[in-house]
This record gives sequence, C-alpha cells and structure tokens, in this order.
Amino acid sequence: MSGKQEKSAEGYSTARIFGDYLLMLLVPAVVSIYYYGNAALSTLMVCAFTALGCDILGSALITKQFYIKDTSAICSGIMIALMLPATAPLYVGALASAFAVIVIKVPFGGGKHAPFVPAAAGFASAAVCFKEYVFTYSGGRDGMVTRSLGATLHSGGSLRLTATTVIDILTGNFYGPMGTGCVIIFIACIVFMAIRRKNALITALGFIVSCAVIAVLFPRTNGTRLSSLVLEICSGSLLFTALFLMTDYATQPKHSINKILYGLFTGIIFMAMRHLGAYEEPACFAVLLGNAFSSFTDILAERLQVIFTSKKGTMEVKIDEA
Amino acid sequence: MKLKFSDVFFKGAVEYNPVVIQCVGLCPVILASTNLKDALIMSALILADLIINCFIASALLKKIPRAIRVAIYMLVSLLIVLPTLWFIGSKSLMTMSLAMRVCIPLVAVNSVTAVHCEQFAVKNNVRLALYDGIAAGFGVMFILVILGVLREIIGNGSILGYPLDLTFKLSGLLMPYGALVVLGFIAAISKAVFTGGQKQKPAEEKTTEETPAEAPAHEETVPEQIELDLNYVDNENDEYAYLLSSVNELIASFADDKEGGNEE
Repeated sequence: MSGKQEKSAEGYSTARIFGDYLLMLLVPAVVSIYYYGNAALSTLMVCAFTALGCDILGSALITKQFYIKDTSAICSGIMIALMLPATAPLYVGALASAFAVIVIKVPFGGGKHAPFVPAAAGFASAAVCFKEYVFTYSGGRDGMVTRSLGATLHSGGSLRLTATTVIDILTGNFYGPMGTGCVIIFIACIVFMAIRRKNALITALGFIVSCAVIAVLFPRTNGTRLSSLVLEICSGSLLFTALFLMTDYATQPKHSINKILYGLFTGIIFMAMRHLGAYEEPACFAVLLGNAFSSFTDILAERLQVIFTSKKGTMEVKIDEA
Repeated sequence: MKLKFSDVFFKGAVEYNPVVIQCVGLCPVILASTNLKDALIMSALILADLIINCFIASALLKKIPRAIRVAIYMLVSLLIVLPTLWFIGSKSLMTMSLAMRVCIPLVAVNSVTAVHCEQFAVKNNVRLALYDGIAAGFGVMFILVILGVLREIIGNGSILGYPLDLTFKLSGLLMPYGALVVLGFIAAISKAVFTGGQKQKPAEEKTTEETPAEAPAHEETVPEQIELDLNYVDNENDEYAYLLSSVNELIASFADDKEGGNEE
C-alpha cells in the first residue's frame, strides 16, 4: 500500500498538507471528547475508520493504488464527525463519511482532484437525510450552556457579552456541533497554518471578512452590532469552515485574487443562507456552492488575461506601425 | 449482413443506453423516478412515444427537411401525450406528484425521441427503426425502473406504496442529486462491464502518407471504430452509426445545414 507522492499547485505534498490538517484536527477532537465523552470518541472513530475503509475499498474497485500517507479520507471523516452533534446516531456519521469518500473523493481521482470538498458534501448529505439528528444538540457535560449560539441567533435572540459568556464562547462551553465551538483552538490553528501554508489562508480570511462585514451591517440579534459580530463569528462552524473547508487545496482557485473572491463569495452566500435559509448551520451548503464558483473564477481570470494580453499586443503593434 | 432484433436490442438498450451512455433525456428520468409507479408510467409513455415516432420518421418523413421533421416529432408526441392525460383523468393526475404533472406533458419535447429519430430512424428502413425505438424505449425503462426501485426503497422506505420496515431512510435520494449520484454509479458500472473499464481513445486522423503495406498492421492494432455518418444511408449495413452520436453532433449538423443554406 504505497505509491507515488502527489504534490499540490502550491508545491507541498499531499502527505504534508493532510498531515497538517490531521494535526490541527486532533486538538478540537480532544476538546470534543472532553465535552461530550465517549459519544464523541465513538463518533470520531466510526467516521474516521469508515472513511478510511471506503477509501481503500474504492481505490481497489477502480484499481488505483492506495497511498498510505494520503490521510485525506481520515481528515474528511474527522471533519464530518466534528461538525456533527455528539448525540447523532453512529450510522449518520458513517453514511456521511462513506458519501464523502465514495461519491466525491474516489470517483474524481482522489482528494487532489475532487470538485467539491468531500467533508462538506458528506455533511450536507447527512443534513439533508437526517436533519432531525444533525441539528439537535444535547449530551454535553454538566455546566455547559444548553442553548447553542446558532439557535440563539436563528431565533433572533441575543446574548449579553459579559466576562463569563466571553470565556464560554472562547472555550466552546455551549451546546453545538461537537468540535467546532472552541474559538481559542481555531485561533491557534490559524497561526499554525499561517506558518505552514499561508497562501491557503487567503481564502479563509476572505470568508471571515465577508461574514464579519455582513454580521455588522445586518445583525440578526436584537443586541449591539459588536455582539452580533462576535456571536456570528463564534457560533456554529464558521471558523471551522474557514479553516478546514475553505482552505481545501483541490477546490481553491489558483490565483490569489481569485482566492479572495472565492472566500468573499462563499462568505456572502453563507451569511445569506444564515439569514434566509431553513438550516441553522448552512456552512457546508455555502461551501459547495462556492466550490462550483471556484473553477469559474479561474477560467474567467485566464480569459481576461488572454483578452488583456491580446489588447496589449495589438496596441504595441499599432505603436510600432506608427 | 442482416441485423437481428436481438443485436439491435442489446446494443440500443444496454451497450449504448440512451440515459447512462448517451446521456440524453435526463430530466424526465431524474424527476419521474422517485418511486416505482411514476417510473413505470413515465417509461411506458416514453416507450410508446419512441416506437410511434421512429415508425413515422422512417416510413413517412425521410424526404422532409430536418427542421420540419423535428416539429413533426413534437406534434406526434403531443398526440400521444394528450390522450394519455385524458385517459388518466384530471382527478388521477392531481393525485400524482408534482414532478409527474410537469413531466408527462414534457414527454412531447423529449430529446431521446429527437435523437433516435434523426440519427437512426430516418436513415434506415421501418423494421430497423421500430427495433431501435423498442430498444431505446426499453433502455430508458431499465434505468427508470432501477432508479425508481432504489429511490423508493432507500429514500422512502417503501415499494409501490407498501411500507418496508427499514432502520433508516436516506431521503436525500429522493432529491435530484440523489438520482444523479445513482445514475453516475450505474453509468460507471455499465462502462466497466461493456467497455472493460478502458478509456476511449480519441479517433486518429487517417494520413494520406500511409502505404498499403502498413494498413493491415494498423487495422490489427487499432480496434474497429464506428464513425458517425450523417449522410443519408439506406442500407442495413449501417450498423449503429448513430450510436456514437450525441446531442452536440445533432446541433452541429443543424449548424452545418444553416451555414450551407446561407452559402446557397
């Protein structure tokens, strides 16, 4: 089970990129086990092993060599598990992971060529099929705030920002998806990523900036604009999405400007879905729509480049003729 | 060589299936396959539409210009759909799903009919055209039934309306994306079974420098490729020239006609 190591457009090997993801994902995974106990551990294990098993099986079916250092399937499985509530039945996570790998990753030639982020597609399919389990949060340890921040915002409510609530928000002491609440960890992960793959962060920043601007301009809460900003950024899986789903190197545009555009566009869609949509946490749907837009931005940039180059060329010819 | 019904049927319905291989007429297939009952009604309609249109195209429409022929296919399809709607009755129709209420009238503009009539029926005799219509109709029916069964059982937890005791249901399969995912896997399996999973090589252009001595060796190494001949062919040796065609080629031929007309 070994094969040739693939390299991304950024020059990093897939082993390095997904190794970094795995390292970063371990921290929220540990936090989720701290908050939700064995339920979180079993969901994480089931999702990771299902994804790995499906990857091996799929590779065998299409007679493609399985590369043991390519941990993209395991990363997808863990991402899906972290976005699920701890109380979701195990088969929900298993089916979502299987969908991510068998429908999105394997048929398109692996994590490097997938047109959509596998974890986003897997979670979206689970959200569509098992809405009652995916957006119902419970089962946390004693002392956790039982109402999720997403639900508070979705119902138009607000939260007074006191020292206690801010600490609760930073440490993820709210009910919600089991691994996406702890803000401190994501800040640390952003720093880690800035050191390891800073180009990928451009999209994440574009995404967060557009979400922040919309949160300030169009608050959903009846509180201040600042509380709207803090609650929108820290609720649900916004930071998790920005860090792990938006930076997926297979679906990111090639050019830096396009990366910013892609991030902004996905952020706008995400916030529009939060304001108008039926789902409490529509991050994955927004990412999937953004993925469809992603390749279009590259094509558009290339065409514009061709047009400008040809215009420049004709202008130079005219100057020469003159 | 005289073509047998079994040859035409196997090629038209299975090896070059209109839905999963030619990717024609996907819209009604996706919308009408959420349950087996709808899938059967839709496949029966498409089968009848194909058989009648292929027969008429081959028997009566060979000398008529293409643009008029396509309009006639729609008219004929409409004449099939309207009695069907009358037979079903407005009350029964209203009990059907919204997708079926939309899809049944849309059979009149089904692209499977236009492609098969234009690419095969008008170029061949009535017997072969009928064979092709039946084959293509059953090809669509196979896929619709498979999709209908899978989507109803897994997505809705029932079969023909009778509930099954399943642990969970994947209601996402009832959505269009579910149908597309299943169709993708059926297409992949079909290709793996009937082409051995090999990638299709692009057709090599024949060079004029090729010597007669080299030609036999070339024929031995390169598998026989069927090329689309858009010229009128009225013999039974025209084996499945249409089958490698696609809607794009049909549109291209329309464009060629238009350009030719402008030049004249």
